[in-house]
Amino acid sequence: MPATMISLPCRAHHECTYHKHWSPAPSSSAPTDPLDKNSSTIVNIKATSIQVPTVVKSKRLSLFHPEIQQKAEPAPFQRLPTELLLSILFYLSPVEQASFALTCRSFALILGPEAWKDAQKNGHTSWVHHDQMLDVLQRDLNSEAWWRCNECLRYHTRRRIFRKPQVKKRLNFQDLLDFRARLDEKKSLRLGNTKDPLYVLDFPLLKSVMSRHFHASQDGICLNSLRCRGIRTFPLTETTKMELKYEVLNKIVLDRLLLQVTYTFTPLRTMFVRNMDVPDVSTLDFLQALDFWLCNHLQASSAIIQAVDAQADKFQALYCKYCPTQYTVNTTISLPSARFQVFEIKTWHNLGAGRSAKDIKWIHIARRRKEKKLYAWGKQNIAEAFERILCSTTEEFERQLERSDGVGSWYDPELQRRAYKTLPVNLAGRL
Amino acid sequence: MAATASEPKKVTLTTSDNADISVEREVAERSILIKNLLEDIGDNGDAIPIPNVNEAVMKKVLEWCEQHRKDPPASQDDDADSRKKSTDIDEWDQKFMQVDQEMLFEIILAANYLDIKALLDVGCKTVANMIKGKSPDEIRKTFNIQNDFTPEEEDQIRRENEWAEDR
Repeated sequence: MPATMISLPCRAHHECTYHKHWSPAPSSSAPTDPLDKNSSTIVNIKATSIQVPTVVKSKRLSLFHPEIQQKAEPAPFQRLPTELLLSILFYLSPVEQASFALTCRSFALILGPEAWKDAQKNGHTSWVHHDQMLDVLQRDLNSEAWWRCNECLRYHTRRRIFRKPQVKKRLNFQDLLDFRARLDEKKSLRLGNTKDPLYVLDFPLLKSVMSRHFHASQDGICLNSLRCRGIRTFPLTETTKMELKYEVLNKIVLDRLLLQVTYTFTPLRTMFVRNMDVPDVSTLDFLQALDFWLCNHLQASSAIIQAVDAQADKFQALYCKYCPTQYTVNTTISLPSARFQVFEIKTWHNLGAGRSAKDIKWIHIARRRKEKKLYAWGKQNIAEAFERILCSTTEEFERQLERSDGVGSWYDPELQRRAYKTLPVNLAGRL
Repeated sequence: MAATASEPKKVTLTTSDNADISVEREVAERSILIKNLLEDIGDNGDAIPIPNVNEAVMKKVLEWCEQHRKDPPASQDDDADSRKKSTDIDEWDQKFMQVDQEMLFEIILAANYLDIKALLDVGCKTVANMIKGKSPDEIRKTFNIQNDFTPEEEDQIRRENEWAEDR
């Protein structure tokens, strides 16, 4: 038999593939065995197969990580040769194989890659196995340190960055929007009559709207909760009344909250009488009597007078001196009396980014009466920005600008060239 | 010759700790290794050395062989097919395998060495049943396996297999 030709111990066992893993048997049984040569070869082949893995294992391990010594006695399990491990594995499901290969380094080296292939989702296997594997791992992973993400289908570590916003108390939506509770508060934007305002916006509300914009949906409150629309009627005389329609729209443009408010004052006849003189009240007089404010510094009546003085048409914007508020006045005459004027006043407010109460725009908006200071108006145009810029973040605006080829089909009178109407760089830069 | 007819042939096995065990030839031949040996050398009454198995384990193995002496030998063909993934073990074998882990693995090693296929299968199934449905940590505890991964290595394995990532 050819096997008997190899003398034991083989002198060349470092090079010889047959005896590469040979290690001396504890009791040299074969040579003393008088029975036959066959048995000696069988004995030695078997002996090698039993002892090889431990030898190979320890060598490999020391190669990878010389600093880690195996201090503990290996468990009896770990003394099994590879082929026996494989025949045990044969009876296990892919997930069980994978978790078995995760128990210690030697099993991972011997079985790992093959076993794990069947429990990872990028391989050729089903997602079901991957999911089952996550279930199994859940028992081992400390839930304080790991959380299972349903979107990525894997575990993530918990870090403090993630926790911080969650720790924060949830805003009370009702409290924020119920401005009747805040009538006495000074630092707020009040529209309409100061005693009985149409609309109140204070900093906590502004901030919570903007924090949803900057952070995520679980933060802050919805932008649309600032919207508002309504009608008020004021009886003037027995025969006339004044109807006020107002609508507040808001929009986040380039990370700033813009507010557009439209007021329409329409005098209406409530009773039609013949052959009798009825006193007509001018709308302007009414507004003066009403004490109606467009922002904290600008009264509606003075705004109209300014507009008349400046002979501004309904497209020409006028500005509040003390805050980033801009308005237009449109006057039409309603029949039957020439003194019945319909005023349509549109105002735009730039409330800023709402990140801090010290934001320059908010300070100017909120200061009232004697505290007010002149606002440094540049060439800002809030109304145009509100209408034309469709990007809520600066980042998005820049991205769109990058993508555009630069020449739009709209003639920009300021730039005196064609540009994209929705990407006005000059407007955006000044906002 | 009359003796052979009345009482079965016996062979003597010498274990690694130099104990002689006398056993009926039919029982011993459940081991393919011993069977081949006996066929090759003929029965000359000498003790057969089994250098890789000690007395306690050998007795245990022979106990199993005694029980299964009448089993038909597994043919080579149905080897692959009959080895279904079922881990069912018959009742006697289950009781037989209720030993401490040291012994269990010794039996598996001995069955492998002595080439007793059926016993080896029973042993592997027993171990597989102990692993089934357990998480890595639970397996470690069951078999007293030392977790010798460094935390980084363990994380890396989880990351590579897309089970977990640290962000």
